[in-house]
Amino acid sequence: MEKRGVIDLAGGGFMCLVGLVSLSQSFEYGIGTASEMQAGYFPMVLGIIAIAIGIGIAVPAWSKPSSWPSIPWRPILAIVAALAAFALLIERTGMMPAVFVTVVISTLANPGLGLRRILALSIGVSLTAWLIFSVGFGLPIPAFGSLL
Amino acid sequence: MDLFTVGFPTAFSLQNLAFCFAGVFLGTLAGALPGIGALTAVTLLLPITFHLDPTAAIIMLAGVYYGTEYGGSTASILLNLPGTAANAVTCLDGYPMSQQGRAGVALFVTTAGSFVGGSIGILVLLAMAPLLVSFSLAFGPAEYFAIMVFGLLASATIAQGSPLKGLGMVVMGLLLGTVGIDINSGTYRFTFGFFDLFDGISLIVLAMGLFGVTEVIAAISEKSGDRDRKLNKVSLRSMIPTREDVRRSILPVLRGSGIGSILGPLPGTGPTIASFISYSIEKRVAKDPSRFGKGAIEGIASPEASNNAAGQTAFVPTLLLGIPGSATMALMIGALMIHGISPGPRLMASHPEIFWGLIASFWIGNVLLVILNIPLIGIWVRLLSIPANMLYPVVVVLICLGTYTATNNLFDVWLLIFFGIAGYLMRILKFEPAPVLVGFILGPMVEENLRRAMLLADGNFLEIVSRPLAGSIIAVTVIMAAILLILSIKKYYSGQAMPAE
Repeated sequence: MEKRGVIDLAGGGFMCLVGLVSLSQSFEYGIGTASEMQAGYFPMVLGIIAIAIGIGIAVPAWSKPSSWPSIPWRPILAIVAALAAFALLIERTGMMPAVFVTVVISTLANPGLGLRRILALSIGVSLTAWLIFSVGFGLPIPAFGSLL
Repeated sequence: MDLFTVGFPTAFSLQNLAFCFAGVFLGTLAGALPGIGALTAVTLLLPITFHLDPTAAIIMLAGVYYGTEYGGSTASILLNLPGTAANAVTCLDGYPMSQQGRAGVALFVTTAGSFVGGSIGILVLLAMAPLLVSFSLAFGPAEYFAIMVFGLLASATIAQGSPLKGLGMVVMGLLLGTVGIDINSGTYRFTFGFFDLFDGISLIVLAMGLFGVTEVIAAISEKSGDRDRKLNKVSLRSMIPTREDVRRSILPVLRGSGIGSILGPLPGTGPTIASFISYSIEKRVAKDPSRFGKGAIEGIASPEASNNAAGQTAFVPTLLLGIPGSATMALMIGALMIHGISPGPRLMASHPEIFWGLIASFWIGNVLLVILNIPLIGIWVRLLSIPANMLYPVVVVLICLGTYTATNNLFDVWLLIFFGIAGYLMRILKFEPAPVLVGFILGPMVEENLRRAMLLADGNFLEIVSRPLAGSIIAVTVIMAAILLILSIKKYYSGQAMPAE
C-alpha cells in the first residue's frame, strides 16, 4: 500500500504540534527580553525550533511513498495491560497479588509458555520481589493489602 | 596521587566493593541477554540507587555500564545475537569462531581484550582529568551553554537514525525538562493542572517509560528464531588461546584501546561507534582482509578492547564537565543529581571520594569481570538458554516496582504507562528515544546557562560568540551541523531514502 511518506508526515506533524503547544503556552508564562528571560522564553525558543524541525521532517516526506508501519498490537496491549493492572492493584491489594497478576498478564504478550511455567514464574517473581523490596530494602509496601 | 590515598581506600570499603560486584554482575547478566543493553540495564537499576549513598550508587551503576560490554560479547559469540549494540560487531567473527569449535578462545580473547581496553581507558582517564579540570576552570556560563549545545547536537545526530529526528527528540527532552516549577520566576510550566507535575517529571519515570517499557515491547515483537538453541558447553580448557592467537591479538587490542580512548570522551560517540570503527580499521590494516567474517581473531579483539576503553573514558566529560556524551552517561549524571551532587570541574575537589573512588572501582570492576567471565563462563552460557518469554515479565515487574518504590506515587506509574506508549509510538515513527534523555537531563542547565550568559552579555548574543572559548565551541557546532545538513541533503537528492531505520 503506498501512501505519501506516512511515517515521516506523522512524525513531522507531531513535532509541529509539540512546537505549537509549547509556543502558545510560552506566551502565558511571559517572555521577557533576551537579557532578562522570563519563564516562557526558553519554551518559546524550543517551540519555534520544534516547528522548524517538524516542517523539515514532513516536507520531504510528501513526495516519498512509503507504507503503513506494522504495529505489534499484542505485545503493546499486553504490556500496557500488565502495567495498568499493577497500578490499579498495588495500593489496593499489596505487593504480592499485584506482582502476580502483572506477571501473568505480561506472559500474554508472547504466547508459548505453558500454564505450569506461567504459574511458577508468577509465584517465583512475587516472592522474590517481596524478598528484595520489602525485606531487603525495607520498603513500606504491604505484601497483602487492605482488600484481602 | 589522590587515587591511592582517597580512591582505593574508598573503593575497597566493604559496602562499595559489594555494590561494585553487584553492578558488574548485573551488568554482565544484562549484557549477555540479547535485548537488554547498557542503557536499559542502568535504567532498571536506577531506582535501587535511591536507597544507597552516592558513592555506592555511582559505583554500582558504572559497574553495570561497563559490565554489559563484557557480557554482551558472550551472546554475540554463542548465539550470533548481539547482547548489546556495542557487541554487534563481535558477531561477525565471533560466531564463525564458535561454529569452528573455537568459542572458548573467542570468549577468552574478548574478555582479555576488554580488560586491557578498560585498563588503558582508565589510564587515559587519569591523564586527561587534571587537564580537563584546569581547562574547564576558564568556563563561564557562555562556555557551558555552548558545549552543552554541542553535546546535545552531537548525541542527537551522530547516533543512528535521521539526524533531524534525533534533534527533534533532543528538543522534546529539553521541553520535558521544563515541566514543573521554574526556579527563577515561580511559574508552573506545562503542568496542565496536574498537581503531581509541579515538581517536574521524575527521571526514573521518563527513563523507565521510554527505555524500559519500549524495549520490552520491542524485544517481544522482534523476537527472532527459536530460543531453545542448543548451546555447547564451554570448558575452561577450551578457552586457552594458542600462541598464534595471542600473537595476532596484541596489536589489535592496543589499536582498539587507543581508538576507544579517543572516541569515548567525545559526545555523540561511544562504545558502539568505537567498536564499529575499530573493526573497519582492523580489516583495512590486516594483511589478509578476506579472513574477516570467517573467524578472524583480530575482528573480535580490537572492537571489544575499544568498546571497553570508550566506556571508561566516557566518564571524563561526564564527571568533570557535566556533559554526557550519551544517554547512558546522562543517566549517570541524573543519578548523581538525585543525590544532590552536580558533576563538574569542582567534583574532584568537593567530592574526591566519589571521583577517585569511582575510578578506583573501575579497575576493581574490570578485575571482577575477568573472574566472572573466564572461570565462571558456565553460568552465562546456561543463562542464555532460558527462554526469553520468561525474562520479559520479570523486566516488567522490575519496571513497575522500580518506578513505584522510587516515588511511592501512583501518578508516576500512570505517567510511566503514558511514556511507554508514547515512546513506542515514537519508535514506530522512527524516532530514537535516547536523545530525549540527554535533552531532559541537560535541559534545566542549558536554560540556566543561557539565561546567565545572556544576562552577562546584556541580551547580545553576538557578545557570547565573540568570547574566544565559547565562540570556537559554537563554531565547531555550526560546522558539524552544516556537514550533517549537507550530507542529508546529498542523500535526499541522490535518490536514497531518508535515513530511516
